[in-house]
Order: sequence, then structure tokens, then C-alpha cells
Amino acid sequence: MMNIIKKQSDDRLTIALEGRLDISTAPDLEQVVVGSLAGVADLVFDLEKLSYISSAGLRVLLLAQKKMNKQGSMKVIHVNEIIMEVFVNMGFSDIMTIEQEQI
Amino acid sequence: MSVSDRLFLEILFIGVILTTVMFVNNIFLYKQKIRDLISLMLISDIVTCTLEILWAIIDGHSELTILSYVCVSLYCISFVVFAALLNQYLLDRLHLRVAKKSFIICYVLPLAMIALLCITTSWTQLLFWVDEGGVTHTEVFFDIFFQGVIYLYIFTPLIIAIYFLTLGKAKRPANAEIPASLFVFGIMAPALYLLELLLHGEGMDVYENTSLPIALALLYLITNVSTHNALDTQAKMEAVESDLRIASKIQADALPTVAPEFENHPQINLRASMNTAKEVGGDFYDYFPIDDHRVCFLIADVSGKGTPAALFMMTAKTMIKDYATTQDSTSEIFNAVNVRLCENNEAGMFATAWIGILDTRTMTLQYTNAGHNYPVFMRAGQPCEMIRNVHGLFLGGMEFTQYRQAEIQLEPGDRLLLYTDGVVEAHDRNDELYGDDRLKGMVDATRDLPGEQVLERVFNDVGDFATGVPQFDDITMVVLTIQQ
Repeated sequence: MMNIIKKQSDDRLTIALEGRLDISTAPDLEQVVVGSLAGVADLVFDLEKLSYISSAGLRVLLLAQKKMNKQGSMKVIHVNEIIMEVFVNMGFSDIMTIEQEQI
Repeated sequence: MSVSDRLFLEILFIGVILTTVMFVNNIFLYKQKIRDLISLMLISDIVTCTLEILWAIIDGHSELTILSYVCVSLYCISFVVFAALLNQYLLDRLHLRVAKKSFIICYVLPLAMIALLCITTSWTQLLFWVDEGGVTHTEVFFDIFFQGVIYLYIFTPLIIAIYFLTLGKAKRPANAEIPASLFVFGIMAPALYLLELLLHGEGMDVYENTSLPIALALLYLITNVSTHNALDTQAKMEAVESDLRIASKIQADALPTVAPEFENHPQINLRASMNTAKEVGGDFYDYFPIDDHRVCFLIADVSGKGTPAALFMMTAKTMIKDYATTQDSTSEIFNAVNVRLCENNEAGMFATAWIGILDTRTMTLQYTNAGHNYPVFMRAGQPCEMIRNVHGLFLGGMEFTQYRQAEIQLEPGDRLLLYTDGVVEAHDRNDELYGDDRLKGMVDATRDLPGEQVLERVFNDVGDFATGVPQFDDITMVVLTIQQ
């Protein structure tokens, strides 16, 4: 299960993810990424309530990053320790702006 | 109520029940959705038949004149809707499409005209009218226009079906059974209608009872076509399964199976194993000598499963081997491979990979980790540790990734275990992960055993750990041992 909560103000879009981003929920996020990035210059993924991310989920984040490379900037915020480890392990920290959770 | 009237109503009831059963069957047995053409068609037929029953019941009741107008009007409209949907369904079976431009003329316009006639008929009496006794009389537009439209809808596909069966053999769809079913359907409906008229005898000519013949013929048609499609799907599934088996075989054959004894490098011992989960996966490993003093070995895990992953894996494996002979370092190999894998990668596939090149003269191991699991390293006589570094994003992710590399000096007795996440992410019934620590423990415990036994012991331990949980991911391992 995963909830996708979108908040848009002007050209800034914040997508908050809650739950598990895995092979079964990644397609939902992909639809959002494909469908709602038109005109967005500043994309923020809020992962505060994300408990798990699988490679299918990383693929969608990468897709979003590729799109935003062409039209603006993207950052991932409130990343918890477990997910941060996945990001570092997979080499994501090289290509994305990642802000860790403030404790 | 006369006998023939009762008979008429009973026949209508049977029609409704038959169509309802078909509808339920199609939803539950053949897993059609409500919005599918076939479901909409059956719904409209059920509505039409029900209205026809209502019409028959209220006919002749002078106090229900207004209801008669409403009922017959709705009947006309729903019948046209049904016929139009049937027409679309039949054309669809024959793989024919009505052009968008003609759609309005073919479907929207006739329906609008019928609706207009229905609304105005109480004044114009063009379609039908209800007399003082409450009896409905159909008029010229009912016989010519309303029925004409319906016959046109139903018979056009039938004529096309006959054409496919006879003259157009070369052009007909791959399957002769569907046109044949349509053809039988075409004969069945009028034949049953005639039979019904014979059974009724005289006095029934007021009603146009077409619902039962249509219901019976529909039953034949839909059962035939649906069963045929189901069989077709089954055949396709079997074909896909056999394709997958072949893909799996090709994939397994592509990996080196014979334990390599590098003639020029007697001090290295390399062993590998791969146990695939149910589907074709995307794990792979490889090892080969680059020249007389360098040996390359690698492991990788492609995202996703099935044929796309297998194809991506084959491409990646071939590229890595190609570039390993032309590029000077592990980072440059991955730089080159990554750029190529990013080209035309619309599907967004990627692979995590770990590559090492061991120079057997100096025993220096140069390596690059592209987002892959940290290998377990065992220094002779010391506890195991993970080589915790990453030198860039997985392969096929970002075109401009510049990979880095690192080096490690190996000594006799050292051991390095590469593996995919099928090992550490295997979980038990309580969803606990196998994890790095347990893996390190196993490598520690097997430090005096030869490489192939290490692989076997680790694999068995993962199996023991995940008892009762089906293997979810491929389990692939490569172990390098420097001989004493």
C-alpha cells in the first residue's frame, strides 16, 4: 500500500509518499510522474513516511530525475536512515539532491 | 389473459433469464468488465426484454396510456442501442473498425432520430400511438425505420461474415471459426423467429417478439466466441511459457559453467553458481582472462524479471566482455558500457554490477561497484568484512555517470564473495531478512573449505533460513579464492 499526496503551488510540486514503494505501487507513482510534471520547475519528493523502497521504485525516481534534468530541479527530502542506505548503496546519492531526515 | 398471451410472456421471461445468465457468466466466468462491449450489449438486451415484458403487461389498460408511451419509447431506444452494440461487437470480432467520421452517421444519428420520433410520436403518431383502450398500434416509421435500422445493424456483419467465409477467404481473419459462428447466428435468429410465429399461430402479429430468438442466438454466438477466445488465450499462454523455458535455457547457457582453470594463473580459484527463481531473472556473472596476466570477473543483477530482463542481461554481458578487452580500467569499462546501455533505453531497465580485474603478477585487484551489493572480503586469518564502497549509479541509469574505481592488494588465502540481493534479501516467514551479518558468518564458518563448497553451504543456509517461503529472487554468487 502506498499513498501519493500531491501539493502544487505555481511551478513547485511536492509529492509526499507514504508506505511502501515497491513493484506493486511503483506503477501508480510512474503515472503521476509521467502525467503531472508539465510546467513543473521544482520537484520535491517528501519521503518522511516512506518505509521501504525497491528497485522498481528507484527506477521511477530515476525517471523523474531524468525528466527534471531537462526542465528544472528535483530534490528528495526527509529521507530516513534505511532508505538513505539504499540510495547510497545504489549510487543514487551521486545523481540526486538528497536531504536526510532531521532528527 | 389468453393462452397465447401467457405463452408470449413466458417466452419473454425465458429471454430475459437467458440473457441475464449470459451476462453473469461473462462477468464471472470469462472475467469481462462491465464496461466491455459484450457486457454493455447484454445489459441493453436485458433492458429491452424487460421493457417488452412491461409493454405486454400494460398493453390494453386504458388508464396506463402515458406509461405505455414511455415504455414503448424506451423499448425502441434500448433496442436500437442493443442492436448498435451488437453490431460493434460483431465487427470487432471480425477485426473491423468503423471510421471515426462515419461513427456519427452510423450510430449517433439513427439513435437521435429514433429518440426524436419517440418524443414526438404522441403528437405525430409517426412511430406508434396508443388508442383510447390503451392498445399500442405501431406505425409506418416503426416498421420501416426502427426495424430497418435494427436489421441493418445486425445483418451487415453477417453479410461480411458470409463474405469472409466464401469469397474473401484470402482476406478473412486468421480464424475461420468466428465468421462461421456469426453465420450460424445469422441463420439461427430468423429461423427461431419463424418457429416462434408457427407456435404462436395467428393473433400474435401485434407484437414483435424478437427477444427470445435473439437471446438464444446470442447464447450460441457468445459461448462459441468466448470459449474460442479462452482456448486461444490458453494456447498463447503455453507458447509464452515455452518461450520462457527457452529464454531461461539460453540464459543459463550463456554463463560459464565449467570451473575455469586459468592455465596462466594457477594461484586463482574462481567458482560461481546461479539458482534462478521461478521466472527468467536478470542475474548474471562472468569471468574470463583478458590477457596473460589479467583476469576479469563480475556479477550483475538486472532490474525486473522475465524476457525483457533476460534480453537486457544478454546485451549487458556481451558489452562488458567487449569493452573489457579494449578499455584500460574497470571504471572505463563501466563508463563505456553505461553509455551504450542508456541509448534507447525507453523501458528504463538497469543493472547493478560489480566488476574486478585481478593482475596476477602483482595480485592487485582493481574494482568498480555500480550500485551493487557490497562483496564479502575475507583476509586470511582475519574476520570477514564488507567492501563498502560504491563508485557510481547502476548501469543504464544516467548517461553521464563517471564511474570511479578502487584497488585492493590480495594475499594468498584471501577470499572474496560476490553475490546478488537474492542472498541477503531472502526473508523468512516473519519477514526477517537474511542480511549481511548472517552471510559474513557463513563465509567465516566455511573459511577452510574450497570455493565450490562455500557456495553450496551459503545457498543451503539461505534455503534453511527461508524455509516455507518460495524463492523470490535469483540467488547468484561468485567466489574468488587466492590459493595458499
